[in-house]
Amino acid sequence: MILKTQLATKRFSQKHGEVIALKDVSIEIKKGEFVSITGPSGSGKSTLLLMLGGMSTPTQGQVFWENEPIYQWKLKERAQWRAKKVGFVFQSFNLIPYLTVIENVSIALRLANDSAREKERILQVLADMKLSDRLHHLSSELSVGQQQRVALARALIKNPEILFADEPTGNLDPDTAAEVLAVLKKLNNEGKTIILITHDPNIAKMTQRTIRIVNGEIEPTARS
Amino acid sequence: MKIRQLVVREIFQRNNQLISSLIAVSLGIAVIVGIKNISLFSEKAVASELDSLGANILILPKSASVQDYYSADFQNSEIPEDYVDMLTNSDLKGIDNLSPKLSMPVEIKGRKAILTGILPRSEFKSKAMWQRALGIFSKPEGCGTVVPIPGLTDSKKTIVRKRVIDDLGKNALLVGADVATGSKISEGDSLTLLGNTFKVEAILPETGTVDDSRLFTHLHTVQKIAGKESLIHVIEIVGCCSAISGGLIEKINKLLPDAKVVTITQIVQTQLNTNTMMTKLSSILLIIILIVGGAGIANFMFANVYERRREIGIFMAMGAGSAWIAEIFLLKAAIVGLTGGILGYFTGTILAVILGPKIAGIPVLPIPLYALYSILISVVLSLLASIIPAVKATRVDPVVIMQEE
Repeated sequence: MILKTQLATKRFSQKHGEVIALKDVSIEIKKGEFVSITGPSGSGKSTLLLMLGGMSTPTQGQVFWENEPIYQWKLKERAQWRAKKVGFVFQSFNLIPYLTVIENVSIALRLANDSAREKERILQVLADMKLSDRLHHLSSELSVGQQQRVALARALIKNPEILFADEPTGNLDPDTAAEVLAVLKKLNNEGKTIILITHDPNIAKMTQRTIRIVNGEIEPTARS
Repeated sequence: MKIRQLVVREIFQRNNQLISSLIAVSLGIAVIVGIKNISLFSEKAVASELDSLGANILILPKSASVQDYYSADFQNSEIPEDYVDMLTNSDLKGIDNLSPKLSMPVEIKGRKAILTGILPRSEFKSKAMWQRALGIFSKPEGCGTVVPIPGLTDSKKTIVRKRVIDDLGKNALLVGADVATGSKISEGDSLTLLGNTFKVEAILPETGTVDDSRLFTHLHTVQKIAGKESLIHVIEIVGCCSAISGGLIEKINKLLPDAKVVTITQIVQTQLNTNTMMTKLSSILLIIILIVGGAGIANFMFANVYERRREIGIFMAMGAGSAWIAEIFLLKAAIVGLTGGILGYFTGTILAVILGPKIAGIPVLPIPLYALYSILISVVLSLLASIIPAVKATRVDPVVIMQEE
């Protein structure tokens, strides 16, 4: 078991009362799995993804990485864990707008304190993503498909053990979406653990297992 | 990619913000530099004016009074000229111009006048023992050091008030305004007094005091005429007012127990009050500008943090810790502070040099040391004002990265 949650609950205090975003969520992700998380808008998918990624402390319960409770680690340790072991890809790509393609990727390596053969590795991963001719372009100069490929390159440069993808094809046309999904499938085949949030049942079907969340609770086995 | 490069890229990406924040910081520093520059030269000008009020410490014979001093009637009570040696060779701090003096009544063209002997600076310099004590002619730092300011410092007025002159021949004569007018004496005239011939070097400007009825010549000449070799009536001292309030009088009393040491309270008090007022005014302005400037920088940094919440969330997702995130904002603050400090120094100096003569009526010159202070103040202020925004940045909720743009 690479990652699991144990009765994880997340409540938010708001002006008009308390909102329960996740309630007693217990899931297990095996190493090398390709898991999709589905559910309607506002069901708690993104909250669960942030919690699994060590960025949102559960109000109750715990998240374990290789049986270690990550929310008992110090903030700095959790940041280091994210920097070295975790990759994120988002629907809005979230590239740093004032950095070039090569710099966006480079910064991820810097944060992981892993500068060995930095340039060579960056050039290789960008070549894998077919971006060799866009190294010094800003994100505003790229197509949406290219931007998502840069985001993938940024997540993959540090060779993470697990990749979290939040609707990575949500802003892409069908062809580009298919390209990105193909990359994710290839990565999974190479042994990467991938957790993918999606609304699209067809995309969910591509994964090995689907976890469905409704109103912050896991729906009894959707597809396993 | 290094964090420094990242910060510089971000700064240049937001040109408008950069320009507005630099203008804010630079203007703050420019105002500080301008005010400090003008007030420093104003203080010098005021110190120069106050200095022309004359001596504020008198060393008199035990039996003499201040009234005797003003009337130049010491009734045969004198002190040894050696007291001047003792003062100059002592380690007393805060003594500016020392002026030993011996006076005697004379008659000139039927009018009564006072012939006063003074010692020129060249006499002090010529004495080997006093060479090491030449600093005695300079007030210590922070004492309102008097620097001659072209257009403001009147050398003749200084001679009259302080009896300080760089050089004076044994038979040279400086004539007070009343005596010159009453006896129709002009510069270059030759005069005979008590069988001695003098050449009139200068006619002194009118002061409205007893000095207008005096004639000044070399101390040793007067001593010879009066038959009072190595004796003087008084030593006038321009003492540093802060040194006076710090116990200078007691120290002189201890050094010269057989003399009477008195202060001219009104002069000392005026000097102290003026210095205190200028220092307070300058400090109040400085504090106000620092608070306003600090608030401006903090506001700019808060806005920057708010605008970059998503970016901060992305960095967090990539594994950035709190220290790294705080560093990018503090580094930005330091760069803005450094640039603002440099620009502010030059702007403030240029404004002071141009406006100083118009506002304060004094010439103002650039002070290079203020460049260092400007940068230090600007960087430290920027960093201090950015601490809370930087801490706020580390507490951004990463959920912002999940929100659609």
